[in-house]
Amino acid sequence: MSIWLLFFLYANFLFASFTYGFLYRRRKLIGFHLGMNIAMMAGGGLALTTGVLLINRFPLHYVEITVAATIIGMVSGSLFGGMFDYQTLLSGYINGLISGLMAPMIGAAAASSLPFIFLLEIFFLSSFVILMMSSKFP
Amino acid sequence: MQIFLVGVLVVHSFIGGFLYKTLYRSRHLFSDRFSSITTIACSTVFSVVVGVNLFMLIPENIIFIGGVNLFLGTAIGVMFGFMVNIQSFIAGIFNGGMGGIMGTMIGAVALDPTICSLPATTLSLESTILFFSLFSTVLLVITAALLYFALRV
Repeated sequence: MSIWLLFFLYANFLFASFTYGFLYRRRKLIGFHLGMNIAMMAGGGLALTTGVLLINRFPLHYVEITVAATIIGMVSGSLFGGMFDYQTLLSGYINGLISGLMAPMIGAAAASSLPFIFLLEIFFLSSFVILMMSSKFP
Repeated sequence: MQIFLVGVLVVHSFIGGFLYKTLYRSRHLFSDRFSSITTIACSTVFSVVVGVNLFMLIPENIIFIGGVNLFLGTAIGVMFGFMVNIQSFIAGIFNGGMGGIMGTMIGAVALDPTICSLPATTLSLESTILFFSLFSTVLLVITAALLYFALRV
């Protein structure tokens, strides 16, 4: 159980950094509306999965995990939004902050069930695949 | 601990007043998109922060303090949203009310994690309150700095 959670966390960060590198080369092709949606999706999804996985791995440390998920959401939303525009940075930042504050409560309500976490990972990784495909049709 | 929380709330309201004055002075320069994003960011973060600190100040009656937080969040959203036009007004009302409810929930779970079927926390009550107050102050300062420099870019 616990080795799966840490493996998923590592895979999420690897996939997100790969997507960032892929989108950074094509950032001139992407307009501001698509860029705003990319920033909101990336920041919110990364904060949500980080909070859910960490609260299932360390259920005693609620306060620290809230802070960690919020900081990860803020930084990733700002990074993905900072490719395009300052207002895109602001919208990615605020969406990552809200998702990071909510995420440990969602993970606590899941009560450490492995099928829920598998479905969440499928949702997250497939949404990142759609995000990489979206730069082909700007 | 009560005096500390009241001081933190006073500091938060000073930061909010400063940011409101700065944004109000240059409200004729805002485009539609920038006014919407500014209103969403300001009203959400301010109402979450005020909700968390107000719940930690009076943790006995969750229904009463939830109503107060909902009213305060909506008032903050109206205040920030009414600067520009009607679409930022709608965004401010909705996001402010949602932030107030969410701040109450975050404060309740942080003080007593057993209502969310988590095991009881290892931190003491005072250190939880200190941690969340300082964290909310840091969030507020970062958001205010980002919005302040948004006028320069």
